[in-house]
Amino acid sequence: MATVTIENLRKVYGDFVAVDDMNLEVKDGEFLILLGPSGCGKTTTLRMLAGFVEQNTGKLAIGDRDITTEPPYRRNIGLVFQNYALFPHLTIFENVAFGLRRRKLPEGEITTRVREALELVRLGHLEDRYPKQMSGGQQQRVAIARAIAIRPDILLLDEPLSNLDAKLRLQVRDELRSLQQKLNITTIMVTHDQDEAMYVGDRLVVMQEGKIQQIGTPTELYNHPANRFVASFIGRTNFVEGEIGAGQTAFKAKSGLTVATAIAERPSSELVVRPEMIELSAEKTAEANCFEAEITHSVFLGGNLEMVATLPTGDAFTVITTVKHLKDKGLTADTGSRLHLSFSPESAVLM
Amino acid sequence: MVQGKTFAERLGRLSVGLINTVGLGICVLPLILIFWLSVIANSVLSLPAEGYTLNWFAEVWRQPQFIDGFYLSAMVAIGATIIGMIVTIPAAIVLVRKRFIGRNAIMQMLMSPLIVPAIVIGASLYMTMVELEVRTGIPATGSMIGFIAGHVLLTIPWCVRLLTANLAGLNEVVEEAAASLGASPFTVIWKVTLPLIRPGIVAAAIFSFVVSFGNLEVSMFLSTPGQLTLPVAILQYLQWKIDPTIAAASVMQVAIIGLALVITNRFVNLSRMV
Repeated sequence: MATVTIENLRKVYGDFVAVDDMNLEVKDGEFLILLGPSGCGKTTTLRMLAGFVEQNTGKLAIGDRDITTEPPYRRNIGLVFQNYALFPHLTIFENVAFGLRRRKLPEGEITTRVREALELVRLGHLEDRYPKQMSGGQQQRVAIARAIAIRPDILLLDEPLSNLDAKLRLQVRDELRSLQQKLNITTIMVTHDQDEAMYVGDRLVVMQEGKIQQIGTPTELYNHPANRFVASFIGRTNFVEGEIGAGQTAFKAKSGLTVATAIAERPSSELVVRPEMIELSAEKTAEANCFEAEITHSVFLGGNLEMVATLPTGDAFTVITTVKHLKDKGLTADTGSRLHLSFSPESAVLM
Repeated sequence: MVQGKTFAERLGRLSVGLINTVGLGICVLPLILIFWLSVIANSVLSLPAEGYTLNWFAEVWRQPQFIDGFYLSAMVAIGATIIGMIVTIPAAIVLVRKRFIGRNAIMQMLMSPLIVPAIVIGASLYMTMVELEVRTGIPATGSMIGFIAGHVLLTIPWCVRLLTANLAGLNEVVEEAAASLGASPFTVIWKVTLPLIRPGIVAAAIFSFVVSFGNLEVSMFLSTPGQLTLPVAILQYLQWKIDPTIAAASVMQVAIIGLALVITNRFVNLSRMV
């Protein structure tokens, strides 16, 4: 088990800064997610950790071991790739045994450890098959078994679920999470899917344009996004532009709307309200923020309803609520209905 | 009746079928003719046949230059194939996996024996080797080494083309996976890359063998009295005698090459490789 230290890591391709002076500490046994849109530098970071891309500057370490200049085959890192990357000419058993054979373990030990690893991903009965004879989900589980069989110091996962279909993705995702917890292995996963990231990650690192935008638990990122990019990348968001001075509690929107907030620590020009935090009602409520609005758009999503409520000031708020909740309150939210929307000052997060 | 709704459709199908048949006929006819001529009883290569005999095949065995030629051709082809593979496999790996200045120039150079007429290659090799003999005293023309060196040149473009095509289709991520599991660069090539391009290697080897075994132009220049490859021996025999023996010798050569292709096809789907 090990910590991972990334210090001043930088990678430039011509004029393009792929990773810009990145600093990161990954805790022992942590499941860390590198999250961001394509081209944000998350994959480059992972490939530098694996040793396939050489950094321009910076230092990489696993525990006390400096791996900055180590070749990939001496880093003792388990890798799982997006397209599985199994050896098509080897059986499942030999795929998993590959890393153990490179370590020149005795045959008996290899057999024990291969079986153990395949049992962990519940594929012990398929060891004589070839990768081609397996489904995508099974292949990815073999790839995971192959990576953990070498008992790596850390595990790196490069979009491991994105080649799987939706249903399988959820299944392999659950397995990945429980396996990581069982083995308590430090894991870094790259993904562009925020649901996936929030589901499996202990901490999320949101990246954009080679820079870390924010590091935090899913709750921290959702409730206290550091900037507009993080707010829009994690979950759905309503942005309101305007201004508020330090120490004040009234945010004056450009549209003329006044929103009550918690005490502002510093001047701010933007606030964020999560669609799930907005309550709908027929009558005016006692909440500090309560506005009359007209439903201008309404989409039925099965258990949930997603609506756009437009205020007389022109501000439009996306509201997400459960169908049951509306029914319990005896509300209809068809396009054209007039309702009140309200949210607490704490739900109006200043950027 | 030809399928198709309209007259134009039917005409189209008919002409495609016709062109296919004629094309195939043009390819196969000489082969059939050779087989036929090798079993006619006439003492000169001519038609109509006066009867049929297998004597000409026995006659091939009685001609030492054919037996020796066959042996020399086989040895040269095997040698050229082995050395060609040793040279081109590493070259192909570097050409596909690495980006460096002059990469295209090297690629073009390796392909150039396909563009330069074989007779020109033969003539220039001959002059080079004679010069080498004069300077060093080591016999080059007519020697096994001379033949193999010349033939390797002919096999290189085929091997490079087949191997690079195969390597380009191989996902590099598999090699990265091997490296992450602790395989050194050499082990990656030995345990992953080479096994995965085996179809390309088999196809390249067989093409090398066929190209070398059937070559006349280069061998003609490198042959010395008593050191003739089979095609050169057949040509020499033709110069003073035209009887069905050469047809029989040709049939044997075709049979060997055909056998090589059939064996290859068991390993790789040739129609997909070329």
